[in-house]
Amino acid sequence: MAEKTVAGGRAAWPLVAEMAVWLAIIAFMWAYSYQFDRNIRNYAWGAVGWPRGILLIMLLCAVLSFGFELAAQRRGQKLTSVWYSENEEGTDVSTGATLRIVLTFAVPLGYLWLLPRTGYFVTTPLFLVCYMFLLGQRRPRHLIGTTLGIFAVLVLMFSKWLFIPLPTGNWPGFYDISNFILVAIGSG
Amino acid sequence: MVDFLNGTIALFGDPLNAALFAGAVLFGLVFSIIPGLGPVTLATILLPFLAHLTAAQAIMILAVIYCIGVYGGAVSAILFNIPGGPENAPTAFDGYPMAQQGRAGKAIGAAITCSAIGGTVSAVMMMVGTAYLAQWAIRAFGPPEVFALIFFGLSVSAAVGADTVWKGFLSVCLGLLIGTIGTDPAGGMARFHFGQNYLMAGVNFIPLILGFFAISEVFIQGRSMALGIHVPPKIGIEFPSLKEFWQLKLAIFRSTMVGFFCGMLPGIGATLAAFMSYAEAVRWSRHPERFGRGEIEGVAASETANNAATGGAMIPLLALGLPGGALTAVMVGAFQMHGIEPGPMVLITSKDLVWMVFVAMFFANLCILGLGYLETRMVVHLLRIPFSLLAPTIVLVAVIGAYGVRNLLLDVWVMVIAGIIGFIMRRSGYSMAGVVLGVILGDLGESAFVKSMQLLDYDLFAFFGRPICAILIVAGFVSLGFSLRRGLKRAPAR
Repeated sequence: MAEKTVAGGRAAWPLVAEMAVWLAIIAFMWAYSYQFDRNIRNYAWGAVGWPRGILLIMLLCAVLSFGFELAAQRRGQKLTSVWYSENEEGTDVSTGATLRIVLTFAVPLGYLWLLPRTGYFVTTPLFLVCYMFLLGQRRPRHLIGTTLGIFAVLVLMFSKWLFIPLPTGNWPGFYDISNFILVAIGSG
Repeated sequence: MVDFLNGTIALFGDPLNAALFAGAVLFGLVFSIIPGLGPVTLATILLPFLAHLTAAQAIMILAVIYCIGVYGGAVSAILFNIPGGPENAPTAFDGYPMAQQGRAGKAIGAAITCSAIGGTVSAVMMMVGTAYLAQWAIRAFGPPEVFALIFFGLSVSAAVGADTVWKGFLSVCLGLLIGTIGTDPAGGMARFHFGQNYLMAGVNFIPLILGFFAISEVFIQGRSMALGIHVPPKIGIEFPSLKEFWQLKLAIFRSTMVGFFCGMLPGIGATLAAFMSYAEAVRWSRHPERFGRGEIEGVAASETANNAATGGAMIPLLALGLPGGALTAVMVGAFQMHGIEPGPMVLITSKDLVWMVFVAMFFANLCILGLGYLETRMVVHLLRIPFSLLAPTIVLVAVIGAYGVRNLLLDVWVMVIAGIIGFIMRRSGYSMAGVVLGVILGDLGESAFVKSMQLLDYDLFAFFGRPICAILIVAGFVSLGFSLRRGLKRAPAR
């Protein structure tokens, strides 16, 4: 990791934000621990002893981490690297790219939200096509072929052979479609 | 030797036994590659059918699935950052970066060979010392020793994968904190459940590792693709050379011992063996900063130990009737189904059964070598699949893996949230290895600590009155001292 000069106080804000997140987690968990701070008959240190001990060590490490990183910045060093983005120097983050990054997270979350509502059997092929398209796959043959292939293998393996009860959906109509598919593959 | 020959004849002299052995090897391999399924699922699916076989055949099948299953999960851990089971999680720490660097063949080759060596050596040790070792392990290792062992393992974790020692400690502490969610081990009081009944049972480990490894990786690579800076992994099917293996000799020896020993302790098993062995590899390495970034020794340590634990785990099972983990518990069920009570008498009354199982485990570990090399030639080419096609598949397999654990969609949410947290933490220089290490060891550690305190009358210094405890705790503090010294010198961890 090459040392990089970080000039000015503005560069310190990610460190402050990071420290604030740790302090918030520690404070919240400590406050929450009062909910179960009761005596246990066979253990004198109760249910809070262990988690509070961890929280105290976390507090110490968070403060020391902040202190050492800040001191390093002032010396013109950077202790923390972002090793997955070392080749990102000078990358122009356009609106389109930002939108794609947001969708990289949003599409799986949307898939999960839909899963209990529209069922695995309807939602999964749509998710596969959308995610492949989002990640740059543009050839219709690959989009359709891969979707059908993966979907068929997963449905056969998990529904027909292993009998894992995958979600069938609770919105009107979707349960019937899922049920139709399950009956069609002989698993219903 | 005569017993070994008799066992071999019983196993391969009968075509049905040989066919059952081959089937167990094959199905064990297939099931262990799919996350969330694994050898335990296969064993439980097979359990009703095992009632129709003889006791020796039933236990032999389960023992073979155990050995093969522990190895199988390494392949998906190395290629796609999806550990097949918790015991393969440390393999992903270095195996996946190796695959990204075009050294997938070397990583899988090391995993195969080390799994085979660890498993075979432990099978031999099991054959030789079952009766003596079981008594010693149970008498010498009480809760204080288990806690000291876990403390020793955790003390080195700050050095694994994080940018600075402090971030390493924070990663481990976060894992320990996640491990406290659920109920406390002393009084069963609900902690950090935030009003959710689901969280009272604790956070399941499988969705967490799938999220921290597989899902966060999809997000990281997806972001790179959006920015146009994605670099496809290089394909490398070159296996480690003999020279490379020779350089790993000490790591393999140490990991075999650590794995075998951890396997012998009831409730510890292959998962802790892999983590402890990985931690020891970091501790003894001249270049600890290389771990977590594609160090072959990390793969070797983890895979040697988790397979070495299989032989160790059979010792308390056969000699004392104590199962060390989920699969050995299924074996107890199979014993009871056939009217046999595992324990000291089984070594005398069912000698033929015991030796057929020993021999089957020995040869199953050897099979890893042959099958593994054949498999590698094919599976490494999966890396040629474009990431745009691979990513949705990884997400779907992970979704089913997380869902299949308890058939709960909440587990899938936990996985995706862990994926997002993992993405943020990895980009900020924290260590996923540390978090996972904390979750795994924290749960066991607290339980052992509570029992120790009850046993030692809340006197922390009483740990030093027990020789094994004292050695492990002092060694742990020395490791912590080295880590802190590096942190105080303000040097980056790598």
